[in-house]
Amino acid sequence: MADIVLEVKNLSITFFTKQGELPTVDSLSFSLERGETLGIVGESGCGKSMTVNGILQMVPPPGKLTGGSVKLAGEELVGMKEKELCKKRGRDMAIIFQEPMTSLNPLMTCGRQISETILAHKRVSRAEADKRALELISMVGIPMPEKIFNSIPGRLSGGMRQRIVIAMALCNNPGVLICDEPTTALDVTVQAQILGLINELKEKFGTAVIFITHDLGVIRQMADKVLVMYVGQAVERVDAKELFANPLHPYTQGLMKCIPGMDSGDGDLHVIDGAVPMLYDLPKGCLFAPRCPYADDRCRSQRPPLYGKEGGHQVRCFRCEALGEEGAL
Amino acid sequence: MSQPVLKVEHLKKYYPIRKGAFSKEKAVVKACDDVSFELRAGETLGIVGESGCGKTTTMQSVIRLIEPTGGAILLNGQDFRAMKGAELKQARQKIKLIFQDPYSSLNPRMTVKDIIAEPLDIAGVCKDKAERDRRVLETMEQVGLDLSYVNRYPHEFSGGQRQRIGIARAIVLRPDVVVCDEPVSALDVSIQAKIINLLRQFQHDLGLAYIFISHDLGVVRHIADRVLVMYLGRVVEEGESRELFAHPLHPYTRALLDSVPRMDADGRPAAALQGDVPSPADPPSGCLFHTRCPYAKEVCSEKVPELRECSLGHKCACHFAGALPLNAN
Amino acid sequence: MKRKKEPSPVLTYRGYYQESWDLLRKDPLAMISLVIVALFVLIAIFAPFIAPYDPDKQVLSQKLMAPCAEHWFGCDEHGRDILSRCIYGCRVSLSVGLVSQLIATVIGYFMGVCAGYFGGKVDAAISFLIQVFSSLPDLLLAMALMFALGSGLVNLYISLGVLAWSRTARLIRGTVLQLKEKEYVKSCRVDGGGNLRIILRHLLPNCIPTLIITITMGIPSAILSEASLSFLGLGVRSPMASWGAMISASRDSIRTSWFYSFFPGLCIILAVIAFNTLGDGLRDALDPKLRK
Repeated sequence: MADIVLEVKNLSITFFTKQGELPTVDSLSFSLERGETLGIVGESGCGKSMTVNGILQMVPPPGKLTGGSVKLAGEELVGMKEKELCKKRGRDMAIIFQEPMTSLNPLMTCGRQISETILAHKRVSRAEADKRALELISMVGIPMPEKIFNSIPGRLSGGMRQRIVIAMALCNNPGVLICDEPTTALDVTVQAQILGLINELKEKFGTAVIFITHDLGVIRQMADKVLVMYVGQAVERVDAKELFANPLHPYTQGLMKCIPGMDSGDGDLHVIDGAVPMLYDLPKGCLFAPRCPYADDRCRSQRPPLYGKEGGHQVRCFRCEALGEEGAL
Repeated sequence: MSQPVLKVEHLKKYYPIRKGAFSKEKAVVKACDDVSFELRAGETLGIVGESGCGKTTTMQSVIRLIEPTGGAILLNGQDFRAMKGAELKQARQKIKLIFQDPYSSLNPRMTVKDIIAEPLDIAGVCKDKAERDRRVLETMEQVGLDLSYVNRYPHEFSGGQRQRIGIARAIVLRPDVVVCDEPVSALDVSIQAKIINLLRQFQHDLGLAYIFISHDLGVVRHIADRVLVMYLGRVVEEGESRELFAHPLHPYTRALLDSVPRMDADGRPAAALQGDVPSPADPPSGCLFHTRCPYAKEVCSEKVPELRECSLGHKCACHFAGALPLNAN
Repeated sequence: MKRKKEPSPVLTYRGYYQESWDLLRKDPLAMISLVIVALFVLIAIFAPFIAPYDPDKQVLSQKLMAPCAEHWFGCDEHGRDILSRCIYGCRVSLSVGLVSQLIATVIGYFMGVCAGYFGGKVDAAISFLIQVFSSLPDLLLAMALMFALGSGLVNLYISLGVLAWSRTARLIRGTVLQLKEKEYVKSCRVDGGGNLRIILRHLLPNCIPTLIITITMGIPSAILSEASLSFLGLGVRSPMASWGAMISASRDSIRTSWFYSFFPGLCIILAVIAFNTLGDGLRDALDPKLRK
């Protein structure tokens, strides 16, 4: 396919610690087309944020990228020189974090921060960069852009700050926008605004989006394709519609049932028994087997591969063996 | 009907602020303004609203963590606000608190046993060490903590287990009222479901009354019998949980509900509300919500709407309560 | 509903101080300085057994004798063995460092907790005192105090202790201001726990790492102050050996007898560096922010 902007193959990240080598991200593959949103969902510690670090080639020590490839618009990022990577980050791929203040300089005016980012990657005059920054500020739906252009981030509300960060991320029209829980710190009404904005801008620019969240409801609204992660592995990968209509992995099913919805019954909430296993004490068989209601002896002794065809419904569960095994595990 | 265990009438908490660094002109922030409710044994009152709406201030005033500016708090029919010294200490045994953050709510230098026993120690209800130990272990058993952890320190535990310790601490004295301040917001969904089930079970077994504060409407709908919706320090709607979520009367409640990303709905909804919550230091005139309300008319910016009963047990503070097309779909 | 226990949590648990010790052990500089500090402490405790000669015994024939096999560090202008005097001087230096810091810590903790916990007017008054004390030149004030109290070991303890509390108080005040907002302190208050309970059970245990660090970091400056005061003749009384006093006495013969000022000076430098490095190491080891 011609329009693939990001292709991740067998990405593996290992943490080398006292307790041994911990497979934080285990052989993760996915691809992303222009204008498409991939949602990555999972509980804390499942490796979703580390995946982002892997894509950006910014794995913090003692972690190390131990295998796989990351191709951005056909260009291999693994093994690329730091200087080259710096050019890519911010220009070809941008990231939005959960806490907007972490990516904003509290002492610099919002407008200047955006124009600095433009100047870092493009050869334009300061005046042009400022003009573009002002345009971006009004584009992300901020009322009175001139006023906000000259205010420092501390004066703004959380939602406004996140809008500034989005403007900053989009200022060089990146091919890939990575959103790491961008609305978790916001109120629901503001969250709805920000989600709407991301969708709107994505359509306008044709940006591919990787959307990371723990909230299945948000995934439902944002994602075209979904990757469900559990302890560093992809356990289910499929179209968003199909996932919500027909979740196949017991973990995904459990997650969906745990959430008290707007029309759930009165009784006790469904629970997934047990707890997420520790990375240094992983079960021998399927990683979910100790908590799985369907686990049998095979599940406890053997790790299941990811069944299903690339692009179709892929599930890491022996119960879905019928989907057929894909070549690459 | 039984007598309410907790009755709060016209509770107010005002914070004085100065307008400008050198100005002598004084103003107040009405963090919690004229809040009234009743709570019966075995009942759960949910309080919802965006950040800055006064949920936490209300809760802190009710338990006298901060001293309210005005109003009355009747705990088991006695005036809680007027209590002092030994009488207050006695009354405090009956009203307990569970915090949001399971990481900062437990003293890192105290063992689990000492943490859970602290309320017993303060109340001085145990005759000897043996009784203290017995009651601690009994409570640990009840919340599902392994008894062998009794001499361990909090940082060894996962978030869910820490929250269990927090719950054990709150119920060890068999209180009448437990105030839960976002008790599951910091937890993963699968853990969240377990904690919610645990709380509901204690309510059933011990007849506890909960004040449950959360920004997660799904959780509140699941656990609460009645709900207060707050906006800028005031109650805008109050009603029986199912009724309120199914047929909201206030446009703000409607907007909150519409903003929740849902797993079962298809499509990408537009943001229900524009803009941010106004600054509490400079609230709008008339109805506090009129600046964001899609149905606002002239009267809304002039007259403060009163909280009035629209149907049995369903109160709403809107000039047009019941007359708005809020439940069209 | 059947209650299920969650599976066992991380079992590789070590206590907070054990964990700190593990971290400290991995810091070679800190370990070297810890060994040196331990040596100094042992020397101070067992001075009478280690010292080869009586530090006060004058042998006039050995006046300013250069280092030799019998007197490794040589002899001073009264013919006293410098090695023995250095060993006894260690007692003075270490005890001044330790006792004055303990006095400073008790005052500083009390003041800091009062200021941080009670706030308002108490805080304003104590903060003002802290400001006053930390803006005065330490040594000058110490000299004035010693002048008023007269020289002597006990007076040294007092004057250096009284002067050093402001730093501890300021640090503790900051720590308490943070701790006060912690939810466990709030829930103790909601349970009806009194101020004394909060201060002793919740604030003190969480302040101890800060206190350990301020004590270790305060000792070298106290040792230096003692040396300076003794050098100026305001420290210990005359026959008593102290590193500072020895350097002071060596002034007249500094051109002819290098060893007389060299060895006490070496002791001071070694002790100060050892304590400072240990303090740095402890700060890193005890800081919970550096933990995972």
